[in-house]
Amino acid sequence: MKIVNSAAPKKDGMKLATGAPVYTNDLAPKESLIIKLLRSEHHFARIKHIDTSKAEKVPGVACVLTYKDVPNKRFTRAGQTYPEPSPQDWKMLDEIVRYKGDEVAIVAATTEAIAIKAMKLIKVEYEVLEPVLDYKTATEHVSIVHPETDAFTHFEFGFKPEKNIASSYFVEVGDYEKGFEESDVILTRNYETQATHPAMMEPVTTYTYLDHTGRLVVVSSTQIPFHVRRMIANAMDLPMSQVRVIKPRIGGGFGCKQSSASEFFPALVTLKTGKPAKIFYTRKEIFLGTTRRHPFYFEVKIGATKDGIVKAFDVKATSDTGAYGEHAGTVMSACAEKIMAYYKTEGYRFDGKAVYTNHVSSGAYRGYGKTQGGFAIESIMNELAHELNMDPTELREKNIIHLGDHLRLGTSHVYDEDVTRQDTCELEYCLKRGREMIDWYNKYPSVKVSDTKVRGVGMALAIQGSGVLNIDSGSATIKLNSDGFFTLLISATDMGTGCDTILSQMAAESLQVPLDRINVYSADTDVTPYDDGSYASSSTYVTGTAVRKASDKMIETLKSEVAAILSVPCDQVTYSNGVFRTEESTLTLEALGGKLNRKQITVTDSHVCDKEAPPYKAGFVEVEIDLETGQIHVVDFVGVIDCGTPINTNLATVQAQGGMLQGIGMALYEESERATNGDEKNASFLTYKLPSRKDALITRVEFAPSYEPTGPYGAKSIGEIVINTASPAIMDAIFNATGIRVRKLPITPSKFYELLEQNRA
Amino acid sequence: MIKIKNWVSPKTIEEAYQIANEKINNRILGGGAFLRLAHDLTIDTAVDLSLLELDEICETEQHFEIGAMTTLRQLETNKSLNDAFENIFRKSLENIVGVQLRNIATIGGTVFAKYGFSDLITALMVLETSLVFYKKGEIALSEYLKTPRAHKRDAKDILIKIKIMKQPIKCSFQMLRNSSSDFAIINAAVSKVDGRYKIVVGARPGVSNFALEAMSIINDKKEVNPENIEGQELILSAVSDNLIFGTNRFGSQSYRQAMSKVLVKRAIREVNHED
Amino acid sequence: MKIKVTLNREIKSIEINPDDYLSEVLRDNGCKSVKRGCDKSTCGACTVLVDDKPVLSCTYLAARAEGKSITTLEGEQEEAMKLGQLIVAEGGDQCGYCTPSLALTAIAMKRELVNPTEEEIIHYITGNLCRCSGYVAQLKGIKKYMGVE
Repeated sequence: MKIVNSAAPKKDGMKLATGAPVYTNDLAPKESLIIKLLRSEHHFARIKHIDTSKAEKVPGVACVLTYKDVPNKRFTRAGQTYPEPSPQDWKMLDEIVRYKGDEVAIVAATTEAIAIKAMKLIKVEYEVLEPVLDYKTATEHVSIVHPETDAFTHFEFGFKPEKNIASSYFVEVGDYEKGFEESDVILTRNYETQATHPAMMEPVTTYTYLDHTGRLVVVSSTQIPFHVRRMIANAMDLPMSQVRVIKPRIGGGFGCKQSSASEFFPALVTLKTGKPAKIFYTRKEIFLGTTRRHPFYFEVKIGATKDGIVKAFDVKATSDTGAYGEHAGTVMSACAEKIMAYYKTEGYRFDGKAVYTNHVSSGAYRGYGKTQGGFAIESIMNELAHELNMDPTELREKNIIHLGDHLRLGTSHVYDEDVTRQDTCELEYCLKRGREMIDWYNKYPSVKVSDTKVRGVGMALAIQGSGVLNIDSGSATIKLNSDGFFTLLISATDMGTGCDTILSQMAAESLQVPLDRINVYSADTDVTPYDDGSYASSSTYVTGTAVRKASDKMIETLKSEVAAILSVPCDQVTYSNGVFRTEESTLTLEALGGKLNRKQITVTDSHVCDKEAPPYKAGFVEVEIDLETGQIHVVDFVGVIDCGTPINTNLATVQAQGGMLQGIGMALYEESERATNGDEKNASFLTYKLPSRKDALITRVEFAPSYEPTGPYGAKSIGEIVINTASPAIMDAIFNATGIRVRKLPITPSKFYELLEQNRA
Repeated sequence: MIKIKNWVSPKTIEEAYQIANEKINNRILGGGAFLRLAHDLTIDTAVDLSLLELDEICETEQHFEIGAMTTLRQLETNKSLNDAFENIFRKSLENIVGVQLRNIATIGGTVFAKYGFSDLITALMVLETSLVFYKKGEIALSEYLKTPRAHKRDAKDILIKIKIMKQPIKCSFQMLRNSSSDFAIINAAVSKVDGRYKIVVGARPGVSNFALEAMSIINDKKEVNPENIEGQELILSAVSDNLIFGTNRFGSQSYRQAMSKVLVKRAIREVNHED
Repeated sequence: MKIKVTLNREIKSIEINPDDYLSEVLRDNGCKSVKRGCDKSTCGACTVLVDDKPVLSCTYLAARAEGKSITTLEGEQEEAMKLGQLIVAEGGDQCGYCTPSLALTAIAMKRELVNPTEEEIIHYITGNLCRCSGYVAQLKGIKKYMGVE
C-alpha cells in the first residue's frame, strides 16, 4: 500500500474550504458572557486603587474581577511538559502591571458593547514605576521587573529576578579553547534579531461552560490541551478531574497558541458565575496580550584554519523575554543545543541569558531560538567564507556532518551514542542540490542587471528538532468499529499543518486499509489520549511513532481475536490488506468487526522522543537590489530539505512554502516596533505587514531522498525548520550583490538605503 | 470604538446637507472605510450618501466627472478613464490593500479627508482636477488641499463630484512600499501637457504637494532639457526645495527626501518615453 | 433600525444598530464562514459579496446594505465545493481560516474577469492574506478553477 508518502487531501479540507462552522468562535453558545480585559496603560506600575463599582452597575454586566478576586498564585502561561522550565512568574491579575497591555481587570457582560462600556468605567489609580525598556542593559537597571517574592522555578534554570534575568543557559562543548588556538583566522561579529509575530489568522479564542455534572469545560483554540487542563486546574485550585479541555479546529498557531493566553479568564468567569463565557481577542490584543519571537542580541566569535576548517565558536546571547519568562530558558537552550551542532569543530561555548523588560512577553514562535541563532551562526559562516576568500558553499562542505556522524549537542547531558548518531543526514545533498537549482556557479556572487539594479545569491543551512529529546511524548488510541473501520484518537493538535491527516495516513498504512477507513478525532482530554500537544516539530515524528506502535499492537490484538474465533494458534494467523488468513479460512476486517460487535477492541500506545533525528535544510536565495531606492526583492528562493521521507508530499511542500515566506517577512520587513518611549507602534495588520501574494511566491521546494529509521515510515519533522534559512541567506545575497553586510533584522528599503549611502560615501 | 446613534440615507443633497448641519456630531459618510482607522468616535447621525447616485463616472466633452461616491475599484477598472490618463488610476490604486477594500473606499472619502498616505491624491494632482462642493462650488484640488482642516463648528459642505479635464497628456505614477500591500513610503507623479510639466510628491508623509521649484525649472527655464541627464539633474536637485519630509515607521525623512528625486526622475523619464 | 436585504437569495429583514458592521450581523444570522481576523480592513477573512462585488464586511456598515443583495459562502456552496476540491487537492487549505473568504473572492473573480492572466488572478486575490500556505498551492487550485493553465 502507498498511503504514506502520497499527496492525500486533508481530511478536514472540504469543510474548511466551504466555510463550515468549525472554529472555537463559531461553536460558542450564543448566550455566552462576553469577556473583555482592561489592560494596563503603563509599562510598569503598581495599582494603588481600583474602583469597579460603576462598571458593575452597568446593566448586563455579570462580573468585574480585579487582582483582589483571582487566585493568589503564580504560574506560567507557557505550555510545556510538567515541571515546566519557565519561571512561575505570572498571575492571572496582579497588583503590579509589567507592560502596556498587561491585564488589569476582567469584565464579563451579556454583549461585547456592554463589556466595553463597563470596562471604560473602571477607575484605576497607578503608581507609575520606572520601566526597563532596553534589554541590552536590563541586568544593570535599577528597576526590578519581578520584585515579588513568590515567583519561583521548578528547577534551576538561571532564574535571577533581582538582576532581571528570567533564565540563563551556559554550556561548553569539546575543547573550544584549543580550537581557537589552532585557528588562523578569528572573526568576531554581532547580530541582532527582532520581535516578529506568529500572526496566525484565527484570533486567540476560548469559551468555557459547566457541563451536566458541574465540571468545567474549556473549549479553546490551543496547541496544548493537556497542558491547559493541568494549568487551569492548578490556577483554579480544582482537581484535574474537574476540568475538561476540548480543541476544535485551530486557525493557525505557529507557537502563539502554545501559551495559554486566553483560557484562564473565561474559566474563572464561568466558575464565578456558573455561566458560559467567551473571550475572542482582537488583533490588537493578540499583538499586545499574547507572545512573539524573542529578540536576540548575539556576540559571536568563530575560529578557522586558513583552509577553511572551522575550529571553534564562542557565542554570547541575550534575549528579551519581556514582562514574563514564558519559554525564555528553553528558547535559549534550544538555540544553544543545535545551532552549532552540525559543524565539526573542536568545540564551542554558548553563554546566554534571557532578561526581563517591561515589554510584551516573548514566547514560542516557529523556529524557537534556532531561527535567531541560525541567523547568527550562518551569517558568521558566510562572513568567514568571505574573509577566507572561499565560496560559502564550499566552506560548508568542509565542515558539515554526514550520515553516521554524531550531533554535537550544546548540552551538558551525556547521551548514549545511539541517540546522537545521525541515521539520516543529507545536509551535503541539500547543499549540492540547492546550489545546482539556483545555478550558483553562474550567479555567485552577483550579476549586474542594469546601472541601477544588481542581483546577488546567498545561502544558509539550517537544523531544527523532531520533538524534544526525552521530554516530548505523544499517544494514539485506535478503536476497531463494528463495520471494520477504525477510529484514531490523538491529542496532537492539527493547526492547519494537517497532522490529523498525516497521522491517519500512517494508521491506514500500518493497518493496511484505505485512508477513508480511518476516522480521526483530536482533541478532548476526556476522550483522547495524553499528548504534549503540537509544538517543537513533534507531531509527525513523536506522535507518529505512537500511531505506528498502536497500529502494530492493534493488528496483533486482532490476530489473537481471530485465532480465538477460529480456534487456531495465534501464530497461524496472518494479516494483509484488511484480510486475516489461516491455512483453512479467511476473515475480513468487516466480518471481524461484525463478529466482535459486542466487544470493544481498543489499543493505545505512547512514545517519548528518544532520538535526535533533526531535519536539515539548505536555503538558496537570489535577490534583486534597486541601488537607487534600496529595495530588495527576492526573485528566487530554493529550499532543499531533509525531513526524512515526507508522509504527505503536498502538506510537506506547503509547510515549506509557508514557512519560507514567513522567513522572507522576517528578513525584510516584519517587526513589532517600539517608539523611544517603549510604546508598541504597529499592533495591527494595517501596520505590521504580512507578506502578501504579490511579495514572493516560493515555488521551488525539494526533498532530499532520505529515510529516518527511527521515524514513522522514515519521517522526521518539517514544521519549523522551513523558516530558518531566509534571513542569513538573504543577508548574504545582499552582501554578494552590494558588499554591504546586514547584521540587524529586518532590512527595509529605508534602512538599506542608508547603508548604501554610507558605503558610497 | 465607533458609536453611531442614528442613521439616515437622504434622497436629496439638500436634505443631506440640512441633516449633516443640524448637530455638531452629525457626520457625512463617504465609503466609510475611515471608520476603521479611527480610534474613538461618536457620531450622532450618520448621513449616508449612497442613495444620491453619486457613484458614476461620466464623460463630457471636456471633462470626466466622477461622483464622490465612486469607489476606488470603479476608478481602477474604468477603461475610458484609464485610457484617457495613461492608466494612472489603475497604477495608483492597484496596491491599496485589496479589491475588497477598494470596493468600499470612495474617491470622495479619500480626497475630502486629505489623507497624507494617499496614492490617489498624488495622481489626481498631476491632472487638471477640481472638486465640486454643494455649497462652496468648484475649487481646484490643489487649492482644497491647502485649506486648513475644517473646524468642528464649521458648516459641513458635501463633496459632490470630482472633475478632471480631458487633455492630451503624458503621465506617470511612482511609489515605494516596504511590502506590496503596505502604505506607500513615498509616492510621486509627473504629467506633461503641451510641454508643461506638473510634478507632485506625496506620502512624505504629509499630503501630496507640487514640487514647485522643480516645476519652475522644468517649465520656465528654456535651457533646461528634461530629456537629457544634465537637465534632469537640475530639475531633480530642486524637487525637495519647497517640500517638507518627515519620519514615521515606514521611512525616514532623509530617505523620503532622497527618494523623492528618484521617483520624480523615473516619472519624468516615463512621460518622455515614446512608445 | 431594520434593514431589508437579500441574504443568500433569501429576503430578510434584520434588526441592527447603526454602528454594526456587516460581519457581525452576518455571523449572528448564521453565516459563520464570515471570519473576523484583523479588525482593521486588511486581512480579507471577512469578505462577502455585496451586489456581487467582494467587500470587507468588517468595514462595511450593515446599515449600508439596505436593499442590497448579500452573498456569503453559505450561499455559494456549489461553487465552493468545486473550488474547494481544487485547493484541497493541492494542500492549499491548511488552517482554513482564510479559505472561505478566498473562495468567495475567487468565485466573484470568475464572474468578473474574462480569461485573466496569472498576474491578474494574483492581483484580484491579493487582499486575502494567508499566514500558512505561502500562497502557491492556493494559486494552483484557483488557476484550475478559472480555467487558466
